[in-house]
Amino acid sequence: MALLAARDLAFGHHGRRVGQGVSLALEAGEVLCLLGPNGGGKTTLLKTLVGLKPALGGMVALEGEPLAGVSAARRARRIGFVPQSAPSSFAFTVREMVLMGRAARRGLFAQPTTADGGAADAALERVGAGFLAARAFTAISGGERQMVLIARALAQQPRLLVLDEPTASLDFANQDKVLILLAELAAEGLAVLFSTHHPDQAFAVGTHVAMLRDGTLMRHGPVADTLTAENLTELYGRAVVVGEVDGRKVCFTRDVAGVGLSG
Amino acid sequence: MSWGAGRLALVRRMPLVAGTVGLLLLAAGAFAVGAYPVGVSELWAWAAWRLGLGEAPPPVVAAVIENIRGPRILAAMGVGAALATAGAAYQSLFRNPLVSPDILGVSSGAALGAVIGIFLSLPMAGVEAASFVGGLAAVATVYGVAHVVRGHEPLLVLVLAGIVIGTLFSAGISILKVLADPYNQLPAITFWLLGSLAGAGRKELVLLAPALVVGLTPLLLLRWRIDIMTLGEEEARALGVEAGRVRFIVIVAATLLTATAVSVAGIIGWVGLVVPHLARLLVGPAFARAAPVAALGGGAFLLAVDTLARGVSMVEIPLGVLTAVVGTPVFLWLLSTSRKGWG
Repeated sequence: MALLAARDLAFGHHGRRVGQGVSLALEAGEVLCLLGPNGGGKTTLLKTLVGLKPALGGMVALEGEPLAGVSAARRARRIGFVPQSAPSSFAFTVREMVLMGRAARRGLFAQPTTADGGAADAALERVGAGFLAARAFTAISGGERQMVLIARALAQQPRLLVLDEPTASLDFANQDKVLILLAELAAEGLAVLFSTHHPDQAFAVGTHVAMLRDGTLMRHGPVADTLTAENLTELYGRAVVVGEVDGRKVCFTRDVAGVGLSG
Repeated sequence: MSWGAGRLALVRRMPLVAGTVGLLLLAAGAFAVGAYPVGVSELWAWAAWRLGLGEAPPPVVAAVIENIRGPRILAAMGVGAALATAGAAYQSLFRNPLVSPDILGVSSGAALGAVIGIFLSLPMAGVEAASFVGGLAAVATVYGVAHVVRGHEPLLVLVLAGIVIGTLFSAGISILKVLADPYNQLPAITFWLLGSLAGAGRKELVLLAPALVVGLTPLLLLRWRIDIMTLGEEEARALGVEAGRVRFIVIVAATLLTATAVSVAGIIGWVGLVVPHLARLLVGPAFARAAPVAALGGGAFLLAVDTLARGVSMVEIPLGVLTAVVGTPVFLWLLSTSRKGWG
């Protein structure tokens, strides 16, 4: 049984559909990369898959159970969601921020326990951000903030980690750190699903890829079969070349490859 | 580190101790201000007598302490604490440090209720009851409207509905002011709208005390969830929080606190907006730490302002005027000496 499965899923905002017919499944240890042009509905699809938006048709199943009937707390114990972070005006410390990932494991009126503190510290150490614990979340860099949000999701001790463009607005080195961490977490048995604008990231760490265009899944399958030059060309409407560097696949568009080579 | 920052560091380390001591000193000072000043030695003698340890003080001293100044001092502290705590909760819920406890129209509703009461020449208790009911009715209307209007962000709809309903109620107040008797009713309406604790006695404490307990308890219990709500409802739900339920409880509790405060003291601006803000500057944004500091600070601030209001001149100065005049420089000073960021 798949950890997370969507069957003929329709999704959108406030009852207005932006996409339909999405069927996919995710198992432990897999890394599924969601690719697609801007405005194709990637964020909405992710939020529907994690239960933050209601399905407008079809269904999402978490461990075989309809997600619509799962309580928020139980859902958050299975699925860790890392949104595209918007900085808040409340200057919580990094540790307080990660501790919030423990709320799903405590009652409505609870305060975090010592055990929760330990879990939060462990999660921070896991992403290599333990040294940030006492800093204000509003005062750290974008790369650090992303690591802290991943730590918060890990503090939920989920089986599935879903990230909305986790490398957006990060520099080259920080993108690398995030990708390596995601690959390691998948190797430890977590299922990982993230959206990205860089097909190269799917070549680097993905096991599967889903191509979302105009609200429908254009292609979906293992990276090796699905992430081809033809499919990428169709997905983005630009001629894409897939090559190999040091035994690893990379891609770029034909137009950009021709620019600046005239000399 | 400047002198001010050094002092602030001390307050940060022991905010509740510092706040409680400050509040008690202020209360002792407030007893000494008025037509019949009650000094610390007289307070001491009265307390000893009440504990059965000493001789009875002169009856006039006991009467001033028990029936006049004592209730007013307690009411000032209670109203200030209620407004500041409600403000702290709303600022977290609406993720905005510039939100005040009347954002959902509770003040306009309470004001309309009180003005109707004055217009109908009800006794003081009737005016207070009408104000309380008006405040609750306004927020219930706003919440109902937001519940019916779907397809938008719930918090945004709440704020917009609060503004619209508030404007409607203000129009109702204006028409009643035009219709009111300009010699008896209009001055009473104007004075009520500016806020005053002149009418606060033992009767008002009987209303205030249970409302404080009933309003503060759920906020205290939900303190961690309230922190998580500052991330936004969607992110809170992703973390497993039943955001809609928490929002409802916080709004009901904060509305109860605000409506009670307004019905006892009229409309007093500024306290619920800026005191919680200062509390977070001092001890950080976590509600479990900021709310008690805000409650103590709000109580101390309103007590100080009310003592000024009845002490500086023969005519009582409206509280709403003084809170702004006294509060603004204090706020600016704290803002300039504080090292922490906004909120």
